[in-house]
Amino acid sequence: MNAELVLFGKRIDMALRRRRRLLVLAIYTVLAALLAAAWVFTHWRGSGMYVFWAALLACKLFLGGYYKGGLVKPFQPPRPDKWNMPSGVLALKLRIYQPVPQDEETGWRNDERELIQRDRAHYLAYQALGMAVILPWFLSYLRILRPQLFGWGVATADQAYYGLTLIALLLFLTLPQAILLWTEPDMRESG
Amino acid sequence: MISTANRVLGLSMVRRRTRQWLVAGYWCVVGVPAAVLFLHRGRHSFTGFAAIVAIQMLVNLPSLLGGVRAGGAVKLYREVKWAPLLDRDDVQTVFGHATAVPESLHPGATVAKWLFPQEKATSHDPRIWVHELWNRSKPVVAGLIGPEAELDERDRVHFVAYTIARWLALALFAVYLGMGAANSQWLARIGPLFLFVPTLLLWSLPQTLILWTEPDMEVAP
Repeated sequence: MNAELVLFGKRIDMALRRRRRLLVLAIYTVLAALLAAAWVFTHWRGSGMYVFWAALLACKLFLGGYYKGGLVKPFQPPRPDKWNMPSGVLALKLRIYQPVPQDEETGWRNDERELIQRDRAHYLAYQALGMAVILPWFLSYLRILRPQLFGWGVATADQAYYGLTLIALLLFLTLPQAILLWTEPDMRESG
Repeated sequence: MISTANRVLGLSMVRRRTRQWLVAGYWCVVGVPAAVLFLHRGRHSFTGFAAIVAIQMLVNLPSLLGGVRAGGAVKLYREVKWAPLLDRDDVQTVFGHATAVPESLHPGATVAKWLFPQEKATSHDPRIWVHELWNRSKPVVAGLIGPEAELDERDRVHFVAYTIARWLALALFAVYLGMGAANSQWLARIGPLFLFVPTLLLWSLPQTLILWTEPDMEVAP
């Protein structure tokens, strides 16, 4: 895991667990606010995808894991020929690229302990998601068995499935990284 | 990772080929009826039955593979404390059997004993029921994943399963959106299938990977 975040050219120290937890809370708060706003304005019709893109952006800029960039090292390291690829346009505009190039694979390659942490975080996230997908699935069956129950709600059944599926997808994209950032203890400076 | 104590459907899980047949059979048993039930869901008299069968499949079939439930081919991922998921001596099971843990490993029983000493209770005393309740909620650890290496392997398999499920979820979501854009009526018909597939996949994929990839086990002489 990287100990600092580079945003708008500034280095933000994230070695303290408290700061990382604040970041995780901020990300989920923003995503929840976006979901609520999208519901209020358009009932997620067309706007649900914006929340999805916002989650991808949060992964790219802050969380990392499945993407180059962010605090968590890539779960699956890129091929050696891609280690020193130039940063993309978005990274250049937001100045989130590493100002000093990292040495070869040390910036990307996870050591044994990090691999174990990565796998443990995925196990925990997997358990959570296994439970999370049951709710929309159960609702879909309730609609088959008791369609009259869905007549009085503020959302139609399709909107409810869509919203719950979207939430499950957002968790799919962000949960392992969030677990790692939340649980990893304060980092010490080397040397 | 593989339980040799539980003989699923009477079969020994020592050989990988047997496990691969079990996995193939599992997905056929799940996939074929699911497809039939969902594709013919237009008949009104069939919908309630389809829902009940699907719920039964989701609740009972994962115990065939194990992992999330006791009695299957894969050892339990973690200690289960929720009574309906337990596999106890006093419950008839379809696929397997696991033994209860010693009382010393069950903190609830110790607390109950301390709070309500059984020797002072009579048969009509409600304190007896407390003991009975604790005894019935004993977790199963026989066949529980134990050594550190197995825990690491369990987590690694979940990482692989998560990566596969993540791509599948993205693909399903894209198809779902596409169908909604093309004809929103289709969503009402096919929506439960779209939710059933990832749910069952999430509950079964790690066990499938374990059973499919673990090499043949050595049998103790």
